[in-house]
Amino acid sequence: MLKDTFLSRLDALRLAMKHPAHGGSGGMRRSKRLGSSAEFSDFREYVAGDDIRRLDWNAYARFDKLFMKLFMDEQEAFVSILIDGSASMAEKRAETVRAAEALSYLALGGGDRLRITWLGEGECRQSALLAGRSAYPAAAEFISGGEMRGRISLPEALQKMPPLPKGVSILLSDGYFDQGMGQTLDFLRYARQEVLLVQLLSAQEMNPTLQGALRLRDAEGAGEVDLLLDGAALRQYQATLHSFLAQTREDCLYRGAAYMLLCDDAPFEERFLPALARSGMSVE
Amino acid sequence: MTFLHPLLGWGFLSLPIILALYLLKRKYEIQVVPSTFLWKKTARELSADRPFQRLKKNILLPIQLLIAAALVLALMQPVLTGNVGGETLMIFDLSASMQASEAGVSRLDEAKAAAGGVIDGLGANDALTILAVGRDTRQLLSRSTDRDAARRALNRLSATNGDVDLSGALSLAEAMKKELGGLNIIVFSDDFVPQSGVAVHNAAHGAQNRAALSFYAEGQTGYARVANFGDDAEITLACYAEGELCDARTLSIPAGETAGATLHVPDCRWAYVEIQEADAIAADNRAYYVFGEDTQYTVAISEDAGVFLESAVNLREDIRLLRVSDEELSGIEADAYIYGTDALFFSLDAQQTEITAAEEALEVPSGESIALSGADELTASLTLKDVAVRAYRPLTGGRSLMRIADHSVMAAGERTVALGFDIHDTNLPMKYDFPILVQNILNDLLPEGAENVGEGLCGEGISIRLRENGDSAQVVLPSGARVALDSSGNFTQTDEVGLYSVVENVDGAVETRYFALRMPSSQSDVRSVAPSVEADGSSANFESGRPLNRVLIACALVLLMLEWVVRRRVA
Repeated sequence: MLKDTFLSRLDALRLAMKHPAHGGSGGMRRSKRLGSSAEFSDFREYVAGDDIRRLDWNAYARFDKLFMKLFMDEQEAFVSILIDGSASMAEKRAETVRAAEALSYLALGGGDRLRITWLGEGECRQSALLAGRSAYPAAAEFISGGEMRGRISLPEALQKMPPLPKGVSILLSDGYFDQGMGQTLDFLRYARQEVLLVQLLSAQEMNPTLQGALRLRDAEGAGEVDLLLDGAALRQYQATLHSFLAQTREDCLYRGAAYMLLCDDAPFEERFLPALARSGMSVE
Repeated sequence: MTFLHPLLGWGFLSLPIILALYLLKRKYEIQVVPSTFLWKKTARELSADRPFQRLKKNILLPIQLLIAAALVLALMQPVLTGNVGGETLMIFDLSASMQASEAGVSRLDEAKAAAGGVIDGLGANDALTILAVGRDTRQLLSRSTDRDAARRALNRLSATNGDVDLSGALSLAEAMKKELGGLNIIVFSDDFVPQSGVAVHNAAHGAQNRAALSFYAEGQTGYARVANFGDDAEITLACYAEGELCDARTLSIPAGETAGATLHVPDCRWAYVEIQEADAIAADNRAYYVFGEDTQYTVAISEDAGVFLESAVNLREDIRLLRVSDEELSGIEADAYIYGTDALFFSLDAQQTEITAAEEALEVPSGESIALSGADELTASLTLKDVAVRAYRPLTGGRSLMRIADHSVMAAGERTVALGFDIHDTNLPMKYDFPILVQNILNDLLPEGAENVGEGLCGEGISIRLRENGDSAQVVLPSGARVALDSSGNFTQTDEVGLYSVVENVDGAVETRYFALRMPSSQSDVRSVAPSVEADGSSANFESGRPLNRVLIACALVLLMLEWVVRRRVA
């Protein structure tokens, strides 16, 4: 569970959506429909049957004619947090859990409905539909109970999931997939999801300190590779890493998805909010 | 091919050790990582960037094994053996002509290099004997299998300044061959005439040389003779009096010719002429002349004395002959006189009175012949074998040295020695005894001074007549070394060319005299190229061995560099 001080900082924020919400009424997000929110939208002439509480008496005094004030309707959004539960994420489990909890808190605090899904090897484990800040402990408990093991293919795992309602999907993964993130993002786009990809890498992955002749064995069982890790090899790794991150960012940009990179090389509370702001997925 | 140090072949055990180390070194440490996704890409990029990376595993091990193998083989000193093996005898000609420099390398150095090749090619059990033929024959190495000793012996070889005679060494070689059977005989020479069964390294390839053959001075005029043993040339001849330049001439001498030059020589004790141009042999570019003090005897000789007598007298280099008629004899100032027809007188006086010859000539009685009267210095070494005399005049006076029928026919007084017959009436002048007899007489009347040497040839022993009242004597060689002389005056260290000085203590004072030794002129002609085939026409050449350790070390270095390049490219 995140610290209260950090959660209080999250209270001032909510998840931003580029498109109007299409969820149920009573939410806090602006929808395309006109409704009862305090946000003014337009005027129209009064017709019989209209709610006289919304008559604009000032306009009547000035023009001697009845005008109705029209307001935007506010609806709740549907937020899905999808967690990559493969073995490669095990090293980043703590970071992943913290990020998922923070995002859950933001979603619940923003009046959105939230469902958390662990994408595991051969199965997907979904939480109940959660709403309201009061559901945060349940969300945190579900998040911390997830397992990270085996290999998964994100597109296949998403296809096996129950259909996602239109809304926001937040995908937490390290992005280590041979086919890249494009296919996954395309699938979510097809499912009318506004996507935030949170890419999680450990400090060891960002700046490896391995040296010597090593046989590197994949935690997901994806084989081994023999390398003489010297300065040149590590420099080449950095070049490969930067190319990989740039490609992932480009995949997101090309598909209109927000992108956020998290690395556990500093306290989470210091890194999360700046990274979220850079991704454009938070508003005050 | 053979190995000089086969035991070092144990070094090949290093190869499996390297292999084992290599295999152990190549063991990778297993490290579990969250994903090899990026590492595989990195490895692919590394392989793509470095073509050598893929080859690293395949190349480094064989390169290292080859380096080790090359070094071990080099330590074993492999040698490609030549066609010389078993017992080998090398004979080195150390004559002066072996000094001749051809293309910057002397003939002897070339011969030593060739011999070094033969030594390199000998097997581990092949024995080597080295004979060096200079003034005498020296055995530098005797049936040795020690290569280092052989090379040391080669290094000690140096050419002399004299003639040599290889026949003695060849006789010794033949004796060894009979004793040992398959003996390889190799002669390293520049003028050896090939013989059957003797391999020759011909060090002569034809060189240009000029030599100062002689230098003689009379008064202040010097006469030099220079030979051109090469192409047509202009030769600068400089004259030095006691080391100071006093005159010079330029001579144009056609190929193979000699030329004379007259030079001014100031009063001095010794002088020399020197050819200024560099040539094949430097040692023959100087000719010395030592001015003697009272050493030159003038002998007046009757012009009827005949060529045999003149030749015999001329054997003494310190005698200058004046040919005069009998009438002029008494008017000539000379140290000695040789005159007479019916009887021959050698006298210190123009008109001697000690010994008289009979007026009437006598026939030699039948059955009689000329014979020695007894042992005497004047008749030393004479045999008088087959000497016949047709007529004689008995001598009166002096001591009788030869007799015919109780008549004295040779007598010696204090200042005169007489022969009681006309030398035209005897075959004595054509016998070996004649020059000996004449020299004995001259030595008695005109004893050679201490300056008797004057000039001589290197390599030949000389006899120096020492002062009778001298305490000690030394000879200072041209190199500055000093050699003490014993009372016999025999001096044998005559290898150096140049000016020698004889230093004597005479009555408490130091007297210094000089003599010079030069190279025999026969050694100066180095134009010819000696044949290098055996007498029977077959090739007498031999194949030198070739050590391979340098090649192997070079290979190891190249491989080491290659290994370094591969490592550098993959690191």
